[in-house]
Amino acid sequence: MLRFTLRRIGLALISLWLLTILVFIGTQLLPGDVGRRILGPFATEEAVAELNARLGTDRGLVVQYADYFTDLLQGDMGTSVAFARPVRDMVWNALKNSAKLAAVAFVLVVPLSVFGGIVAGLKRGTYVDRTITITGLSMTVIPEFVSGIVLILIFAVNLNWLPGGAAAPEGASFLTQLRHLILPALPLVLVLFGYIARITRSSVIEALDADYTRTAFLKGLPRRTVIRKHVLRNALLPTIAVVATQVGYLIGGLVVVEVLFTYQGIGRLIFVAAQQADFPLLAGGVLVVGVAFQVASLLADVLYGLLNPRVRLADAR
Amino acid sequence: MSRREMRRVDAIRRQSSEIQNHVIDHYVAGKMSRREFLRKGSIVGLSLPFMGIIAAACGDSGTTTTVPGTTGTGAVTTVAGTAVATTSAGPVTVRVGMNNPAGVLDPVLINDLGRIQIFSQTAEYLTFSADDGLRPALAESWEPNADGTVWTFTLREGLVYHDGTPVTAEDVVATMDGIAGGNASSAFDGVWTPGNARAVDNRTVEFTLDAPIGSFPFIVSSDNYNAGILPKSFWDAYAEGSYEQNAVGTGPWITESFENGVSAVLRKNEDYWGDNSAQPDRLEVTFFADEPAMITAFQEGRIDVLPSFSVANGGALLDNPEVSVQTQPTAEHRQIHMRTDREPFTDARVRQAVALSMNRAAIIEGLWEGFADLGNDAPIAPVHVAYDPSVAQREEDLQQANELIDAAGARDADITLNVLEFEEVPLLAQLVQAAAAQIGITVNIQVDDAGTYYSNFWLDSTFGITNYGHRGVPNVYLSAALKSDGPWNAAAYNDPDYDALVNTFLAEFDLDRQKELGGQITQKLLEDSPMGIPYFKSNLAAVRAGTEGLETTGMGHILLQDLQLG
Repeated sequence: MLRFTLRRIGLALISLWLLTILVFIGTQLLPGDVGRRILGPFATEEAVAELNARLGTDRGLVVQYADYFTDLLQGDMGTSVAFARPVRDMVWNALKNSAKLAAVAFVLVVPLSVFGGIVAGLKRGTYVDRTITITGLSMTVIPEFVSGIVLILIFAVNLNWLPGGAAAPEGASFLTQLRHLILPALPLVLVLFGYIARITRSSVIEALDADYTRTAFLKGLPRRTVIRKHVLRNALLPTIAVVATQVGYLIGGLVVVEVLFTYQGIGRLIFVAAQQADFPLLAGGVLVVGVAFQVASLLADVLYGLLNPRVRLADAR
Repeated sequence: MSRREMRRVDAIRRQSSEIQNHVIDHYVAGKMSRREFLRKGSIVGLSLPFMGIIAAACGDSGTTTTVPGTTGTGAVTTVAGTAVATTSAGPVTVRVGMNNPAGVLDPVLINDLGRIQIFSQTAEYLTFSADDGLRPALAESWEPNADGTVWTFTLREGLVYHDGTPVTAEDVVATMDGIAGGNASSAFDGVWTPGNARAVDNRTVEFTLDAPIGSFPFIVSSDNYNAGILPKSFWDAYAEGSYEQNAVGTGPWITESFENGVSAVLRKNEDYWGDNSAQPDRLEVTFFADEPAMITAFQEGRIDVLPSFSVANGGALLDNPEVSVQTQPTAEHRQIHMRTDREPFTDARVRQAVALSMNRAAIIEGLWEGFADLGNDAPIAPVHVAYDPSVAQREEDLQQANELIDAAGARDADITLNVLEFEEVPLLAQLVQAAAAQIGITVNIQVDDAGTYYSNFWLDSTFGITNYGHRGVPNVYLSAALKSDGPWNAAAYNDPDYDALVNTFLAEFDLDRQKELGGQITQKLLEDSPMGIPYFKSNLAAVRAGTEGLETTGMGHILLQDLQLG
């Protein structure tokens, strides 16, 4: 298990390093140079050249990358060229906000969708199953910017029940913050519900059809015990892994939701950085999202290993 | 005019320069309306009180003119509905939405709406460019020398920054030198070179220009949004972004907190030089990265002021009786350039035909629901002093257009139209495509993001559409985008007569003459048609019905000191 974990961490670090190179190349492909982006299309050539020289963006690509990477290893993510602030501070603040939103969405969606999936699986082929499956699937295909706007129009503009902005006033209490985060979390719940419920449902069905379940039934155990001890225990394993991988998306993939709900999370930070061709900020943001994804999938793997005796024991042998 | 009034006018005339007297003469002789007099007089530096005296002497009592935020020093113009009751209990807070700043809040780097909106709450300009002309702001008066190469500005007495230190002429010099290397470089290019401003005394600044420029007061006005006057000490210790921690201007609002991209809180400046007795006590700003988000926040009641929105996203506000929508005409426009040195546009008849194929009124209705002014293929907008309404408006004329195309032998031409992904521009491209199809020209549209368009196609495309933001005077449009040596001459327009006409226009400070030359320039551009300009768009702002006193400018400034929530 330890060897497995260490190998996973090593692989994660390599992918993060590759990610820095990809982001670096990607931002170089953006049209227009950095100085021109910052000063706008109508600034004079001299002013642009002067700014590029000051930012160091007129140097060779390899030199720029080497500099960036060396600083990064020392924990320095550089300074945002558009906002003239340390990237680390900006990314850290945004990450905290994103984590809050992710947590609210997570707490709402996980029990709901797992429960829905179990019910659908146990009542396979019935009216209840079809309702849950089809509803879940339909909601998944609604993009967040559509469901987000509809939710804002209904609950914030017309009914005025919940605020349509995710950012609570400074120094707001926990409950106020929570109130502000419910509406932005709902589009995420809609997107994830169908997915998680479907995985859970198919795992439940697989477990119901498995030989050990039939054996359990045949040896005369009550249905409730069979389901609790044999079906759910086995069915929830893959679900946990799937849910854990979604943490990365919840933290780093919420560009649309954060922009729509005016929330200063990591998604909106990346959006703004890309608009401004702000390489250090963009790279910092993407890197943090990469870390979030890596940690989430590592967590999923480790969790899966710990919960699954076959993996656990195979490693111990 | 009674003898006593004549004496007063004469006394004013003796204090006034030749150019100022010229404007007074025209008004006294009945050659311009009162409104026009106030507008033109302000540009050449006549003060509002003086103009009020002259207007009264001419028996032109007129209606009371509301001039928010201008000098209170004995102004003859009375603010309509004065003495706003300040009896309401408790401090008044106004919540306003602003566009997300596109970068660090730094006077040198401002080039976007969001930063203009927030910067101008705390910092102020020498002069303020509004619909009714140029208003005195930190400068109470200004005057050119005889040929317009040296302009002298006099600061108000007793001006102080938020920290209490007095405003001096040295600060103005330091500010202009400080911003000249940044975004403002294009505004100053060919007009004024840093180093060529001088503090004559504590309250007097003298600018020596590179060439005679009749509209120089506009170039140091709010139109040059970088030019907010800040202390010399700020510039001595300048570091990129230092304004975010040290927003020490003279403006009506003082920063209490500012978090870029998130929110800001400002409080009323109790020591403001203007009369701001009715100003709300607090301003809460929320920054929005996305227009629909700002509009829904307004609908929901999270913000009181929606300073700008588009018809495309905010159409629902137009019909809402609980919302009061204000329109602000601007000079913002799109230039549909036709490369005069590339086929098929080498023949002026083809260019004219393309311009004639467009139904401008229908385009404005379709894209802006009517919230735009008609363009006449010249970058001089109805909001400009130089706009000459007597020039005939170009209308759709398919018969003439088809005749021109046949005469030029250009039927069945096939052209690529390069446009950028910006607001309505791709839609405009489709309308241009449909219009051109009516005269047998096939147009293929290629849309690119702004960065790609500006780097690869703007100055290297046969047919293209470029967006131009608002300017208070058309100087930059006329020279940079159209003169043969202009750096942004996308149409490769090369006509010595035009160049000479524009040079005369730029140096001219007689406003009647400016208008006359403006008309000639428009006429010339209609004949040569290097570009089509179908409209000048209007900005829309919204407040809740009953709220009064919001003022915006074509450039996007928001004046909130006279705001009274309904």
